[in-house]
Amino acid sequence: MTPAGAINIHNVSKVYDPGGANVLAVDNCSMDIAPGEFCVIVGPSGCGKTTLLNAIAGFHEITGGEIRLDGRPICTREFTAEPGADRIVVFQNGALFPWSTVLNNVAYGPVVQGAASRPEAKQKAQSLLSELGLSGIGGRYPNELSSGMRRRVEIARALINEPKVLLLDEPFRAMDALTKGVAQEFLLQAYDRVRKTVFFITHDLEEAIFLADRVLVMTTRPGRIKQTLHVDFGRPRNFKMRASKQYLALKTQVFEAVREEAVSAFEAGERELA
Amino acid sequence: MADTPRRNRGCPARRKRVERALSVVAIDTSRPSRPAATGQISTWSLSLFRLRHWLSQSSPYLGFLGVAGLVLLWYLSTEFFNVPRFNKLPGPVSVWREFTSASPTFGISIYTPEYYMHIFWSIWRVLQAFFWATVLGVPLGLFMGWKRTFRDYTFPVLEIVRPIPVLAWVPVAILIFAGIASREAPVIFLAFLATFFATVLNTMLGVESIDEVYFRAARCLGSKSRHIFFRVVLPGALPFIFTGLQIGVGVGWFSLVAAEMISGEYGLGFLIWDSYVLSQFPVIIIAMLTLGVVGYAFSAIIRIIGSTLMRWTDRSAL
Amino acid sequence: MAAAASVIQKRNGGFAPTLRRGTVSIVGILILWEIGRRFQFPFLSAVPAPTEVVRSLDKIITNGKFWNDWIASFTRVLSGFALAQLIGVPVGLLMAMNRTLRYLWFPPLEILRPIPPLAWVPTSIIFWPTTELSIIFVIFLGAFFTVVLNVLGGARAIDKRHIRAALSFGSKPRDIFWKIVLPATMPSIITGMAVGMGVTWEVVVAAEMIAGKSGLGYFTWASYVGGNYPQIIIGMVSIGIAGYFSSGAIRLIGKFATPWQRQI
Repeated sequence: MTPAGAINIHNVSKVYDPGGANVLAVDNCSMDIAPGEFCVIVGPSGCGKTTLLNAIAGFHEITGGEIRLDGRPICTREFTAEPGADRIVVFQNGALFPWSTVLNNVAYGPVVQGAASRPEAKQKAQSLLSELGLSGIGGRYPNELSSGMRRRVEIARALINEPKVLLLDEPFRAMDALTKGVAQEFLLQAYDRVRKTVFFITHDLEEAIFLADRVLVMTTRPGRIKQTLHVDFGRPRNFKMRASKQYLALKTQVFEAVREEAVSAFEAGERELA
Repeated sequence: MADTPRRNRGCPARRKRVERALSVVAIDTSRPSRPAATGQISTWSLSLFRLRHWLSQSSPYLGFLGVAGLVLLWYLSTEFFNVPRFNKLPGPVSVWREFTSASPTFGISIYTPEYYMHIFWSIWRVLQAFFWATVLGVPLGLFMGWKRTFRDYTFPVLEIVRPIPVLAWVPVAILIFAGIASREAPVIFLAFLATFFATVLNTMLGVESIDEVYFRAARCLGSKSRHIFFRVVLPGALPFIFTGLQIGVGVGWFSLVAAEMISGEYGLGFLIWDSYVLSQFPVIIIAMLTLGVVGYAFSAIIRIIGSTLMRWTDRSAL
Repeated sequence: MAAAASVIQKRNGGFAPTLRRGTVSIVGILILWEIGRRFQFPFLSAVPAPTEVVRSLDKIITNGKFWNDWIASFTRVLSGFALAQLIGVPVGLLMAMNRTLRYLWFPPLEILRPIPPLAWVPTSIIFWPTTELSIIFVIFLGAFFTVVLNVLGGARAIDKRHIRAALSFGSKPRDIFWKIVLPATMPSIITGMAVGMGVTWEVVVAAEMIAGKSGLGYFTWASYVGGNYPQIIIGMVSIGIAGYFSSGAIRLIGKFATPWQRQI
């Protein structure tokens, strides 16, 4: 059986050229993500994790190394595959189309790919929303919803297309801590349902450990993988585990490594690139 | 008490100072906050509430006073005190008398069909100009904003032609359309030009204002080009398009009136110039005020259509 | 690393294609225009071709009267424009700061504003003793409303937090005006000036065509009436250039007046 959603990142480098400065954003980064694995990258802002995500998604080119999805190269020095529904992104500040209702937003993918007709897609969207506990908001516009709800709809919009990989770019960054916790649990529930490969980036260490199967710590710019941590909690997880001794031990283990990077990023004081 | 808002406590002198300073930029502390759940209050009672609140403030009465003051000033300077240069101008009384008389001296009043014919011709011309400007300008603007290559080819030409005032085209317009519909076409063409530039520019700006992230989201959801155009570019640019249309109608009117004054037959601009030439001064004022009202109505209609089509815009920003 | 950098450079494309495409399209249109005239295309043939215009240009540049027309137009533009700024900016600021004045003056302004400035020409001619003054008055009207609206909008959009911060430093209303309100409104003032300048040129040209005896608008109209068609194009282009540089000058002034808006 061919694995679905295995990502291989091999010696990837990326050089930005803002104003001729030749900034090395990512430096020989490598990692292998197994199908269905929930992988989280942690690092200070500006360390290059978004760059990596954008490269996997097909929005940016890389200047060295290669990225493969299920053995097929999707990003190399010469070539970047078009963004597609096999690796869908959930964006940091939300990208629900403000001019469409929730239902139309979620139904967007299937309709546009020709996988279903409009009414069929809307049916499918409605049932997915209900399964995820979001029934009743189909007719609302995004700006009428709270940020937590918007994020959930966006996750639904991605999942309806059954992507091989779900890429999440600090999706809960702009939320307050309380809403964030609930949103994280929602994501875990959705993940448990579909068990797709997840590539999640964040700067929040606690979030990383709570969500991940594996946490990778990235250094400040130029970014490379500094440390890997396996999180052996079973699934499904719930918020109570955040107070357990095991969790605290994991946190302590990684905290030093992350903190060191955060301090040097703070002192370097460089502006974060997109 | 624990729930007394902080600014009501403390010394009155400080409160006075804060209020005066806030009034420096006339911050409207008197506006009521919006009721929370819009779904539960009927629109009718909401409108009634807002109307009552509006009437309870000073703003409508001051506004009325302002307009009345203007008319009074006009009256006093032209007819009452007979101020030297002002007395050559027609005053509100003579204008009103002329406007409301069944058999007006100069042939134009609310009872004469000619009045409405002039209005009709002006409106008809603006509508034609507006139609062509929208039909040609919006797609052009959308493409210019969306595809860099297309913009590179078309924008320079546009930027070179745009600074030329629309009315400088009058002779050229007359020459171009010398053969066909030589009376109407130049006038409509000029109004079209003005509206066209405003529309294209604003539409283009509208597309450029769409956050990159929406394009990315659409692409990774599997969109093809036509999907991106119709489901991201077009709706995303809509607010700017309507702003452009409003501006376009304004400058369209402006150019139309001027074109009518220079080379028209019928229409409000023509009426103004003609009555000046024939020394029918009250009619000038009638025509000017009619222009103001009709122009304003046009903008308002577009604005209303715009806000109806774009109910999804962020209400909290209004 | 250097190889990677050059890959980036090539991918970005740089300025070259934009410039190239722009030049191609402009040259292309000029050529089409010329051909259209030569081969009597339906609409294009009525307009004098680029080559004729250039030949005419030769004769005109040496003629002193042409430059007098430039000066005449510029004088009117600057007078009317300056007047509109001198009266419009204070009015806008006053209306922004004083609620009563705003409620009082806004409706009359909103009633007068939709009346196209050129509709005022006959009234202006009747009222003012000289043609010159009547033209300047109409120009003033054209720019005035734009200025007031922009200044009013800009001043009212000032972030209240700046005011509050100033207050917590103990500022008096006078300080708040000169150190916060005025600089914060400056970008809007400049925008109002730039847009107002555009409107001004529109009005000048039309006013000169209708009622003037000198100036670039008059020059253009007279060329038409006199049958000297290539000169029409010269007139149009001159006005366009004049207007473009006037707006450009305003924007340059704006950059000096608002150094904090410099883009990196």
